[in-house]
Amino acid sequence: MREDDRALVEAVRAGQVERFAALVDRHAAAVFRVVRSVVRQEADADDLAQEVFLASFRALPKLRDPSRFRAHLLTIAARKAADHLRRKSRRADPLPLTTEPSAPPPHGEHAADTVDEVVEDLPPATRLLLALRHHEGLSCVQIARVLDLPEGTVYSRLSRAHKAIRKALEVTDR
Amino acid sequence: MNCDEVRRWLALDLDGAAEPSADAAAHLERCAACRAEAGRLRSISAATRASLPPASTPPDFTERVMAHVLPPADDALDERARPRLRRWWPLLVPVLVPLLALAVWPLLSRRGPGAPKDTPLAPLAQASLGGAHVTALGPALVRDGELHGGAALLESGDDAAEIETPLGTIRLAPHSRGVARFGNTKEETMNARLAPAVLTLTLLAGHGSVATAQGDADAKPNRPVRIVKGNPPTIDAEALRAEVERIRALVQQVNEQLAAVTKQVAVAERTITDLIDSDRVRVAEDSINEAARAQLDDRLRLKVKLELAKQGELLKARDEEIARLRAELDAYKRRGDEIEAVDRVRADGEKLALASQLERARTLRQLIDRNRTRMRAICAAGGLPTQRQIEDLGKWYEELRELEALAIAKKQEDVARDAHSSIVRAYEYLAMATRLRELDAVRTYEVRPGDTLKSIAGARLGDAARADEILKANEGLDPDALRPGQRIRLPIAREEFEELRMRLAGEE
Repeated sequence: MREDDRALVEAVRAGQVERFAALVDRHAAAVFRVVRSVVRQEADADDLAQEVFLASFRALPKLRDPSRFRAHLLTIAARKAADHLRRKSRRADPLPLTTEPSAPPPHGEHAADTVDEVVEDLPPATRLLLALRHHEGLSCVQIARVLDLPEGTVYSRLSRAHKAIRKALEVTDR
Repeated sequence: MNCDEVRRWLALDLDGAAEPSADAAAHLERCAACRAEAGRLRSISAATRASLPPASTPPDFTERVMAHVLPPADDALDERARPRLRRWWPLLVPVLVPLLALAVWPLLSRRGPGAPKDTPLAPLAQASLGGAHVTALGPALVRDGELHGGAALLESGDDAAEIETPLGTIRLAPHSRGVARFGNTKEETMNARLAPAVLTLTLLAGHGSVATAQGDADAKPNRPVRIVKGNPPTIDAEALRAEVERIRALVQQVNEQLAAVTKQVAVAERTITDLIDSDRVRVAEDSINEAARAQLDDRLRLKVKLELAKQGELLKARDEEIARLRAELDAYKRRGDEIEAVDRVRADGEKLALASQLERARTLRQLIDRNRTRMRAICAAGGLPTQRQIEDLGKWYEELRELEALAIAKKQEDVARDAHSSIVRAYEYLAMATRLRELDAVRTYEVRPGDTLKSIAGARLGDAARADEILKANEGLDPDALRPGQRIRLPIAREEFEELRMRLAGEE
């Protein structure tokens, strides 16, 4: 798998640009998983995923280790996703205390949320962390490096999300 | 590792913050309870994966990406191929034209390949036949080398010519011309075999002499036409051309008349058909209308009956519905009273919960302040914050974060604001105390057997010559009497360390 990526990247660099299609085919699902964790609209996700692949294509000549193409691609995907969030949040109201929660759950029913609902209600930035952690298997340190965030922030957000998900799981099991 | 430590390690592992641990792995082998916990944590990971949006890659995604990546291929191809095409396509013409002719030929000839071949000649078209030059004056037809055509000018060259016609052979002496007329249309010409009298042949012999041949009513095919010689007037080329023009005009005129008549016939036929059709339609419509009227009467009567019956049923159903709704309304009223009571109880409960949260936030703040006072005293005395103090602060910090999140979710701004200021404070102390302990660890060195000041300076400061600095940093240290286990201060990050300790020891 790794070896194949290396061969493809080197072929593309040597001028066989059409071989890039194989790389797109192979990694599109992973890129879409990362992108979809923050972008709900399918058309937006599609645009963002295209941007990711085009950026990775432009950066190919600078890629130091061709066998690490996937890591490089996911880094771009995560950064683009984070940029997208930043662009969106700049338009939204920055004060969390004054923003309306999208759908205030009736009191008493809160504990009965399913995992789906919990994940849905998380801030998109946290969903991005969860996607990187559980789909791509990155560690706290790797995520922090990719997103250029303090490690402590990544850890505390993940940890809080996991607690909420665990609670939902236990309620559902009961 | 004991169970507690393994549980902590497992939680860290879920968050992606644990180092790989052989100890933990060994413990999990032995301990079923911890294995179960590990399974639960794995299911959290799986449930999260399942709940995140799925990767739905559109089917044409790769093509669209590649469309941006690849150079515009079509244009490039065109640029390369066009000049080459321009150079060699004329070579195709001699090949294509006969092919095209072959393809079109069956359409023009109207007959299968085995039938006699017809070559229609348009007016003024020229052909070569039996050694004579033939110019069609009206629409003419050449079939299997015989002239069947309407009107044609025949000219022989240096040799005598023989032109086959259905009526017989026309012989032309060298250097003579003649006009042959068979009929005006193709049909007439085809019938020439049956009605040879249509043929009028005027021959202009070599030196202006005219021979006229009149076809016999009972002439047989392939028999020479009798040529009756007369006294010819001299005809010059001009007169001949005028004659050609006259004949051509005549042919055209008759053709036009025929077309007009054909058109009139077609119009008349259509009109007749229309008249007949409209009459039939009227008759049919009348009978249909009558039948429909009869049916309509029956249907109306039936409909009125049905409508009456339906209205009766509807009335009955409506009465029943009203009774049912009344009963339901009563039930709702009773239920409403119950809900109101429950709501009252719940509101009281929430007020209580809010009070207890506020209380807890205040308690935590006091705890943090007390912790801070103790830390200040320790640091002022030259000591370091204890691990226990740091852990407590961390615990309270987490609890406050949860309180704050809860308060924000429930829109209790008082509690949230209170908790937030405590969070800021706890975080500040926590950061300073943790950093101070880290610095201390970096600055302290425990002497091992065989160490000298120089070896320590080489290993920790990167330069054996800096042994002097170590000596300076440790007052009263005897460089020749180092004991294993003895703690030595290293001259690293001294300023940051002292400043932090001052800040922790001082007032804000």
